[in-house]
Amino acid sequence: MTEGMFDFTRKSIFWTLAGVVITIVVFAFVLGISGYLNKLTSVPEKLRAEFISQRFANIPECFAYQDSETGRVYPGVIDLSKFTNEQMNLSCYHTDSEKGYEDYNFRLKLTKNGAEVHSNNYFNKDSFTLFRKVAVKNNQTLTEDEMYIFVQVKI
Amino acid sequence: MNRKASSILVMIIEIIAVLVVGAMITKYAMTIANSETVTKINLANNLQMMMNTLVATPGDAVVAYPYNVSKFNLILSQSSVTVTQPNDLSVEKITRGFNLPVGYEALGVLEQKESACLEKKSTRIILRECNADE
Repeated sequence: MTEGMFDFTRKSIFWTLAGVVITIVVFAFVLGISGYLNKLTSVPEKLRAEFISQRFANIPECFAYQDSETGRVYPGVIDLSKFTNEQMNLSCYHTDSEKGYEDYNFRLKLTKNGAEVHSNNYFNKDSFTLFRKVAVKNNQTLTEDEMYIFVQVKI
Repeated sequence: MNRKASSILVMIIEIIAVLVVGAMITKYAMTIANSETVTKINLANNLQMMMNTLVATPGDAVVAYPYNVSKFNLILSQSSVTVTQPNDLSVEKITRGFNLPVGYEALGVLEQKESACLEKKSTRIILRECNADE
């Protein structure tokens, strides 16, 4: 009888441990596959930020200079008179007022000129910085400058 | 029951348990491998990036998606692009958002067409089937 009880106890312990190990193995397998799927579909944050930030120097709704007589847009030329927070937030790039901190937000700085603008949910928590060479049109003068784009990915 | 019979019975149960767990794992892996989820996610991500690129292009432009999208339905709205398959549940739809400048409009629906093009006309971006020469 003692031997029978010993056998039963031994098997109970074995099956308890086996159940735990099998559960861990199954979970690890599922997590491994989920991780692999995420790897297949992820887009680098810098790449996404590059695509969004292309607009800042290229379209007149943002900061690109547009000739008022001909209507021609000059991509890569920043119109300093438009380089304001109002232009950024009311025309160019606006994130949701309540949950916009979950989206990409930007601060743009012209290094030689010193002018700076930022989007409406930018809170100085930079994830990385992009860099672009631009020209700046200020009244009739055109100068070379560099634009730093500070990117806040998510808070 | 004698000891030999019970140990054989236990061994059979152990083998069945291993086979059941193996079958479950294999079925899960095959379901994932045969689903179109990865393709849908990549398609939605690509369309999102294409939208941001078109927005940043001054003037008019057309860009064609380079792969066959006949398995999917594409919906372009003012703030997002959605990729689904027929009979998809709402949780299986893949949506990616974007922010358009003020005054811009985005619209278009494509149901199981082979080709997809995004056309920008001034401040209007339309999702449509590509023409023969695009």
